[in-house]
Amino acid sequence: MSLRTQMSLRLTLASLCATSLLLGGQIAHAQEETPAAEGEAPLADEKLTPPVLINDVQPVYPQAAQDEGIAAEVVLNVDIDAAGQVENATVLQSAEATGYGFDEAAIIAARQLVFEPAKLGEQAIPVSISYRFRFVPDVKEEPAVVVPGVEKAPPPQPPPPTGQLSGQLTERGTRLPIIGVRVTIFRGEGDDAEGYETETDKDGAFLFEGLGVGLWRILADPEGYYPVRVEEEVDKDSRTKASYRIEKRSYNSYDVLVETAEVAREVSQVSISAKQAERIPGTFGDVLAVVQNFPGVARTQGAEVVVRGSAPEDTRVYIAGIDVPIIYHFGGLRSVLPVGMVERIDFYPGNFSVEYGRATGGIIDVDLKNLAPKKVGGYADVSILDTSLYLEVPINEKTAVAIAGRRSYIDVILGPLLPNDGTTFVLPRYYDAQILGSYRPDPAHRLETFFFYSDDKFKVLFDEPVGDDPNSIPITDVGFTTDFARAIASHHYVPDKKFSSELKLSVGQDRVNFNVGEELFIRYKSLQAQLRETAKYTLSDKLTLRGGVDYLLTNVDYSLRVPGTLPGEDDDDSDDDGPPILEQDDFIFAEAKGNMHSTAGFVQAEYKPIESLLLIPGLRLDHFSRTKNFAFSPRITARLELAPKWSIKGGAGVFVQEALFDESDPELGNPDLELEKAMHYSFGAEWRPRDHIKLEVTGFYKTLHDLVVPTDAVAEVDGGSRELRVNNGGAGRVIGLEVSARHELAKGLFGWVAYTLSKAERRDDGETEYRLFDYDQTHILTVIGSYKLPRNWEVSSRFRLVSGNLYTPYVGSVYSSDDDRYLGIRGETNSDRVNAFNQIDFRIDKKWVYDTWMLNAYLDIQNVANRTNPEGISYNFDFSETEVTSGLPIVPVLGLRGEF
Amino acid sequence: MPSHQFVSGVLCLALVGASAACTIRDDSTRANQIEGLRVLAIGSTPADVVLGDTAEISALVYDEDERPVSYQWSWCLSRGGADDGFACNIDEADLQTAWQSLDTGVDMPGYDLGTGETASFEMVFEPEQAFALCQILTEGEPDSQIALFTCLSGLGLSIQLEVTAGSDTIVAIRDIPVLLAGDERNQNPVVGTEFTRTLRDNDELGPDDPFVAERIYDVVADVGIEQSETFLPPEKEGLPPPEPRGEALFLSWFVTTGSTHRKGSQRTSYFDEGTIENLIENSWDMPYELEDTEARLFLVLRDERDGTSWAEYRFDVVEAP
Repeated sequence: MSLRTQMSLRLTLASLCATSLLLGGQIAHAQEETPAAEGEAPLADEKLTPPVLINDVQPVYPQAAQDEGIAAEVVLNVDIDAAGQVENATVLQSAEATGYGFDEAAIIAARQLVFEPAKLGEQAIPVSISYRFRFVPDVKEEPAVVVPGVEKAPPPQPPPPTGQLSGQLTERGTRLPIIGVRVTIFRGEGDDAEGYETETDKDGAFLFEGLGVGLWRILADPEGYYPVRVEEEVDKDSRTKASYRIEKRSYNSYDVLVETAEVAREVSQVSISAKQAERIPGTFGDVLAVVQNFPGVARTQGAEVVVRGSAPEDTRVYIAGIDVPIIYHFGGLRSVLPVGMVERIDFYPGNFSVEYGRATGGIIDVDLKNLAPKKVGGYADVSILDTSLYLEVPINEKTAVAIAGRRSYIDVILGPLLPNDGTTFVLPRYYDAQILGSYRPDPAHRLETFFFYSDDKFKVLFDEPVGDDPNSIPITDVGFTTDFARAIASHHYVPDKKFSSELKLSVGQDRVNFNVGEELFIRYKSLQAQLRETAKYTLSDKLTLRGGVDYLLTNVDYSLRVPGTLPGEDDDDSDDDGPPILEQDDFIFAEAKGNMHSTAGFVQAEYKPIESLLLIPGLRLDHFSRTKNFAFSPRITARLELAPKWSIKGGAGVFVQEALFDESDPELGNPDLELEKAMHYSFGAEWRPRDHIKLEVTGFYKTLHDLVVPTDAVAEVDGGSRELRVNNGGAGRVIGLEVSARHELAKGLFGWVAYTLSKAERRDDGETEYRLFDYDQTHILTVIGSYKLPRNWEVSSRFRLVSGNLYTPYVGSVYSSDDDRYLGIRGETNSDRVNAFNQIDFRIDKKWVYDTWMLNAYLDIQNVANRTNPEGISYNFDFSETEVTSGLPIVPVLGLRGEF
Repeated sequence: MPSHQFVSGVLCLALVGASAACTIRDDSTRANQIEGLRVLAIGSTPADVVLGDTAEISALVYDEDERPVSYQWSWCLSRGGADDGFACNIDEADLQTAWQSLDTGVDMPGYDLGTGETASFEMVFEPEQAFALCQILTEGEPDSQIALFTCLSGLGLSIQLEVTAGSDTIVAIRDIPVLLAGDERNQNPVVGTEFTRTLRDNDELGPDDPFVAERIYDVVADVGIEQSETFLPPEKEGLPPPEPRGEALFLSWFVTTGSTHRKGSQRTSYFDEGTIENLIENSWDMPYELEDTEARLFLVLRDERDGTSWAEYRFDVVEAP
């Protein structure tokens, strides 16, 4: 016995026709759109999904009809509620063969059908459909798809010739398989309609067998893609192969949002995916430059990151959990990692976990790409600054490798444009390279290796020594090179839901060579080895423990001859005092070799005494061999869910860091320095009025103790006196409020507004009064918006309004005959401020999608209004007149990226 | 890890170094287009002093309006920095008291060196005595700023000149090196009286030929390479032992009309094994509009050991035909 059913769907807003055929117990569905019913307007944006039969019930074939070989067809009107249950079934078209009970059998069966409800957009709705039952009596050698006659069973016929159709659905441009997509094949209309359905497998492949020869229509309509409607010819006893590259409705990077699935643990944390970050205007596509747009981060001209009133060196940068010396190439032009290698950036402006240490400011943690490519792919990115290449290769199901490299060519472009006046410039040149490997022997283990290398070089050569100051050094050349490398191996072990472990081992080398002529130089080389283990164990639903150790060994070999006053000690006038006077008598020389150890252990509990409250107390112990200091750093944070969309949070903790390398050097500074300390306090609230909108307000207060600052003090040593140069006599305090609103991608829009109100102060050695910190910026407003347009266009913009930079005015001058120049007499430190900074940046992206690759063109325009923004003050030769120095004018950067 | 902060500092230093080598301030030409009241140099004969020397100190002062100029000379052992206005940071009475306690039998000169156009200073102490003075002055004040500038950096002889013309006042300072008897002495370099002017792409001008407005002249100062004395530089920690070499020379060009502009700098320089032309050659642009019929040029020649001398030249200037 075979029953064939056919259903059609009538909806209020749109009309669809659905066909369901029951063939030998195999259900197949075929759908095709039909024009909207007269007077019924389809919704523009809401997609209508017809109900899907999930519990089929076959009517009981009336025995008399079966015995007599009578076939029939009954069409019902079936009302399906929003839960997919049949509310009612009535006969629209009775069986022609009356008196056998076909109608009744059909109604009984129909009332037992269960559907996945129809949907309008994401909302389930009630619908009415017409549903056709065909009663076909059992016959010998029943053909597979032939519709029998109505009046009586057809005579036995030889099986019709059949063939197969196989195919594969891949994403156009990326060649990624489209998995789990329903593919429907059908032909015929009305009573002759027949069709089948299947789903694509993990390779995007599908197969239909036993198809009648001839022309078939194929339909696939995966979510987020343009639908495929094609016709294919099926030949007798052969397999027709087809491959369909389906174009996504949008290739916008924001489609792939990285949201942390875990419950938020940090009081202050901002995360952004690399794909989002690279589209922020004004960053020239650099993923790490986005940090300057986060709440609590001051605006700086270079690569410095000033977090909540802390000095740049107080914020630590990790790549894959490992310390790195720098994250930007020369001058902050580019970060040392390309976008292809980065998965996400986590930024902690304060009150960070005990997992992080050796910093009193903030933490930037760059998470490497979770490498699991399904195909060989990559990109080539060409801009006026540099070219980068990225390639990722799946070796097998468990192993994958990615390799990348980048080289700048500013030197190549600008070199020929420079005048030939006896000076040879080797302009800033940088390159970097990375290799990332991933191996997953089983679900519990993941091994990763990462190697990266960064190299920067800058040099100026003079045919003859230059210098125009009687007391300055003769300069024959100025050179700066720095390179560093890290090799990181990590093992992630997650045997079950309760326990996880992450072990990381890193080795690397940093080298710096800098010279101004022969007399001023820094030659620095260090080897690092770092071991870091972090483990988590969930004791119960209410308590999870985290702990770990972090050991860093540094072998240093350096020699340097530098001015007696190092940069940083006199930052106040470095921008506005013209070229510094490098007087020969001021130079000091130092050299050292040796090992230094930094060891830390940490433990924290994540305790939920009640479902809505999360308490995270933690303790960190640090030891620093260079300055011979221990430190205990207790910290605690708490988060309370007041309502499903409301939460409040707060934290307090101790944070320490070691003095800078040169500060604790016996020759350059003071070897008896204590640790710099900070207390962080913060309290805030979060509100998520909608899933894609988050509003946050955080107040913070930070006190800084034992800051290393310049001092005039001397110490008695062996009966004599020794200049200390620096001591722990500094202090600071920072208070502020951060307000942010973030709109995750929804309806094409992505962006955030971040406003920070703060006051950062410092107190110098021997002083009783606080002064404003060099980087104090009272108001910082950043507005970023990106809008996704049709046809893979995307526009984005950034607006920034920031308080002007502080500067120390000169209140007079003295003429120095020795130097033949005027020396400025400084006024009150940081007592004046230039006018506020405001700037609009703009970016537009367009992507063209081809079968096997994509081309993305972008234009990133910094300072699109070409506004002259004041950055500082410069003085004339005798400090009697001032002039405002301005930042960059309009800077357009055009780039192309080919992805495959 | 120390390196990341260290590297940050190095990066900063690199930028400073690069700017030192490459940056020329936009207003650098204004410094040598002299206007108003200016002190252009302070000289000392001899160029450095040892015990028993008397330094004759003079100044090259220019006043555009040729007003009466008053002078106030003083000296000091140690000066404060930019935050302190470079003022003397040893009280004179304290110094005298400390000096007397050394019982040298000679009088320490008072800070005030008079109000003449020149001043003289008799050297009565040696560097070792300066250290003894330091210890006395800083006794009981181990963390005082005096200690910083005396005990550690050593005392020096710092001259201050305050000149006033009308309501304008300029304070100028210079250090005179203090040597031990037997140390290698330095001679002030000398600028000759000859001064060669050549209209660009034309013949050389005669001594009495005037400048012509709007024209550019190549000029050559009268400084011979012999002004660069050969000396043994002091040994410097971290550098190879020095060998005898010629002094570096620096020539400052100050003009009352037009501007000199070689390489955009107001100074030219010579370094050992370089060419003297880098020091003595310049170009002088005459202005389009003449405000004076006379062009004055002041050349100040310095060597790297603080030797200083100067010369002045006057030329007529006429309108372009």
